[in-house]
Amino acid sequence: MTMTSETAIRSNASNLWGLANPTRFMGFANRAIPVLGIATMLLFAIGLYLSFTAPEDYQQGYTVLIMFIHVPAAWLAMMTYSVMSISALGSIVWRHPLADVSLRTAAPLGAVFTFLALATGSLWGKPMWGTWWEWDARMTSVLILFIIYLGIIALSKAFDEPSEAAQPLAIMTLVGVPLLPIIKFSVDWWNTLHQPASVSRFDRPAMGPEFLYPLLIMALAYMALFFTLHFMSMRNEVLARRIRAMKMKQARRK
Amino acid sequence: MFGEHAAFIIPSYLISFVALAGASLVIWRTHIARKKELARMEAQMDQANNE
Repeated sequence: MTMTSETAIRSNASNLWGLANPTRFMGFANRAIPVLGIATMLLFAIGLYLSFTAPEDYQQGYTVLIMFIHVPAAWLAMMTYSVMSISALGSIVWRHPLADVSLRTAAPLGAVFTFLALATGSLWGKPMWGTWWEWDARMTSVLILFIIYLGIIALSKAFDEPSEAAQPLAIMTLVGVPLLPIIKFSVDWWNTLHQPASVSRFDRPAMGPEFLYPLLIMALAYMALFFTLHFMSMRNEVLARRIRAMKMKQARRK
Repeated sequence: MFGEHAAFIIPSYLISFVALAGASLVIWRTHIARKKELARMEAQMDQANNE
């Protein structure tokens, strides 16, 4: 490895580590949020255009349109939990406050995406399977994920001092991690109403390009929206902690 | 439009729009409120320091 590339790697690593500083993170977030916001709107515009101009499915008819919002919501429900799990590790191993900020601000977003996956899935299931709800492995495991999200949100609000909640929140989040492979592979391990994965085999996806491209662009739009809202929420939480610190300082003066 | 299943497709998109736009709005409003409160607190602190 040349000296230049070594220096570049070290510089990138120190830049990333530097973002863990709340003040530097605020500067980064203030620059990143508008860019991400514009990217989100563009991706949604393209994704929705491609979705609504996609042909009718020969079996599902126009209900295939629900897939373009249901599947990204379900993916994001799991991706958000993965982000929270990485944050939980950062919170437990390095006890870094920004990792805790990331974890607690991602939870409500994860709950919204999981709720949307359940609600749109139910609205898709009725015309396709003839039922709003079935206690099959995929739906039940996603419902459990939703309940875990609500539990994490409740726990994050149960402490007056945010730093006291960091470790319990991280532990509770890590306890829920085994649910992710259960959700992913539930369609292979058990007999469910859901079909096996259609997109994971990129070399041979079980879906025509007229449905695959709108789906992938909608998934990117959901992902960009998640990162926009997550950075905005993290910025809000850092501000809340600054306000709290100032109030404590004022109270000590009195 | 959307054929016989419009009663399922339209609510799906409506729920998604309301939930995601609602979450964005709440987060944005919270940001405005916190920035205002921080500015007010900083002004109070400056005033207290000057006194």
